[in-house]
Amino acid sequence: MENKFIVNDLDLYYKDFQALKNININIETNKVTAFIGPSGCGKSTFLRCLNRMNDLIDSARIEGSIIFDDVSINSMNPVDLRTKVGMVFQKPNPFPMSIFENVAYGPKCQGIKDKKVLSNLVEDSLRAAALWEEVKDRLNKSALGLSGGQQQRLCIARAIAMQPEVILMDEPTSALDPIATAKIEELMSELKKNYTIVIVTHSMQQAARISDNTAFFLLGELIEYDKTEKIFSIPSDKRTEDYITGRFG
Amino acid sequence: MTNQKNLIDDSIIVLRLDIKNLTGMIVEQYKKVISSIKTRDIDTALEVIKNDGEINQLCEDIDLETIIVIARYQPVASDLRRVMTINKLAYEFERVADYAKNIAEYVITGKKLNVLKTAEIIASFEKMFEIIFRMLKTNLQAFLDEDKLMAREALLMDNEIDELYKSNFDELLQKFKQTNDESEQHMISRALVLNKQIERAGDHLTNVSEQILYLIKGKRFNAE
Repeated sequence: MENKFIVNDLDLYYKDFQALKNININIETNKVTAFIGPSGCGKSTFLRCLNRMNDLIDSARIEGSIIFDDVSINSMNPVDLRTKVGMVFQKPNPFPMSIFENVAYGPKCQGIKDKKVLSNLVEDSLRAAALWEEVKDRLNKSALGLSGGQQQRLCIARAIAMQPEVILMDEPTSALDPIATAKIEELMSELKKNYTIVIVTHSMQQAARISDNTAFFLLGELIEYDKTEKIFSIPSDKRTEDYITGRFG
Repeated sequence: MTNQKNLIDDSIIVLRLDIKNLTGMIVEQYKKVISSIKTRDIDTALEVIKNDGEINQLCEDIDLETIIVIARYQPVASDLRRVMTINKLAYEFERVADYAKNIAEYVITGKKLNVLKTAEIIASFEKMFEIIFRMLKTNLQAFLDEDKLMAREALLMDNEIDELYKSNFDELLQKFKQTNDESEQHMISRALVLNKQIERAGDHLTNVSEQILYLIKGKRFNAE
C-alpha cells in the first residue's frame, strides 16, 4: 500500500482551543516523514493523533478521519493500533529493569512466554536497533546503566519488538549528543526499509538529512507538505521559507 | 510574522559586494583590451594580463567564502540558492575575465608579428564587445535586484552575439579565401580566434543569466 495513513479534514480541540485545523495529509509507506514547525504549532499533537494517544487527554476532541491501511483508526482497538503504531519519545524512557526485560516486556504482555521465542525476538529487535553488539554481553544488567544514546536505541528496540508497522518518533534525538544522534539517524534510514517512520524534529538539518517528505506546521495548520528536497531548496510558501531560513520571529 | 535578520545575511551582503566588484573589474578589463586593440598599445595589454591574476584571486576568495558560509550556516531555500549562485557566478565571471586576458595576449603577439590590422578588427568586434558590456551590467543588476525580467533581457542578448559571430566568421573566411598574402592570412586567422573568444565570453554570461533565473524562480530557465 502506497499510503500508510490517509488523514482527512482533521480538527483537534483542547476544550475551546483549536490545536489542529483541517489537516489533510497522506503518510507514505516505508518512507521517513518529518514534521517541522515552531513550538506549539501542533506537530506533536498531530503525531499523537496517529496512534490515538490524545484519547488519554480528557479535554481533547477530534473531528475528521484518519485511515490506517484502509481502516479508520477510530474503529480499531487503541491497544491494537498502538501495537502496530509504536512510539519513541524525546527523553529515553527505559523501564527500570534489565536490558533484556525492557525489550521482552511488550511481547510478554501480549502473551508470548516461550523463552526461545522471546530471546530470538530480543536479539532481532536489538540488532534492528543497532544496539546488539554493544549490549549482548550484559543483557541482564539494568537498562538505566546505558548511555543516553543507547537508552534511546533500546526504546527503539522495545518498539520494534512489538513488530509494528509504523514508528512515531517525537524529537528522538533532542537529548542526545551528535554521535548518538548520527547513530539514530543512520538507524532510521535502515529501519524505513521495513517500517514507516514519522518523526517530529526541531532540527531543520535533521529533517533535511533523514526524511523523504517534510510537513511544515504553523499555528495548528499544515502549511506545506512536499518532498524534503523541494521543501529545503524551493519551498512554495513564504511562511515555510521564513521558518526554515530562520527569518521567522 | 515578521522578517527578522539572520546571521547569514551579513555574509551574503559581503559576497554580493564581492560579485559587484568582480563585475566592475571585468568591465575595466574589457575596456582596456578594446583600447589596446584600437591603439595597439602593448602596455595596456600587459596590464590586462597582470590584472587577471587579481581577478582570479578574488574569484578564489569568493569560492572559499561560500564554502565557509555553507559550512557555518547550512543555508536552505533562497539562502542556499543565493550562496550557490554566488559561487557559480564567481566561476563564470572568472572565465569571462580569462577571455579578456586571452585577447590581450593576441594583441601582444599580433603586434610583435606585425599582423594585427586594427581598423578591420575593430570594425568587426566593437559591436560584440558592446553587447558583452551590456550583458555584464544587466546581469549584475538582475543579480543585485533579483529581477527576472532583467536576467531574461541579458540572456537574450547572447543571440545578438551569436549572430555577429556568424556574420564575422563568414566575412573573415571570405577574406581569407580571397587573399594570397601570408601575413594577411595570419591576421585573419587570429581574428577568427578572437571572434570565437568573444562568442565564448557571451556563452558564459548566458550561464550567469540562467543561474540568476534559477536563483529567482527556483527552476532552470529551460524548464519553462
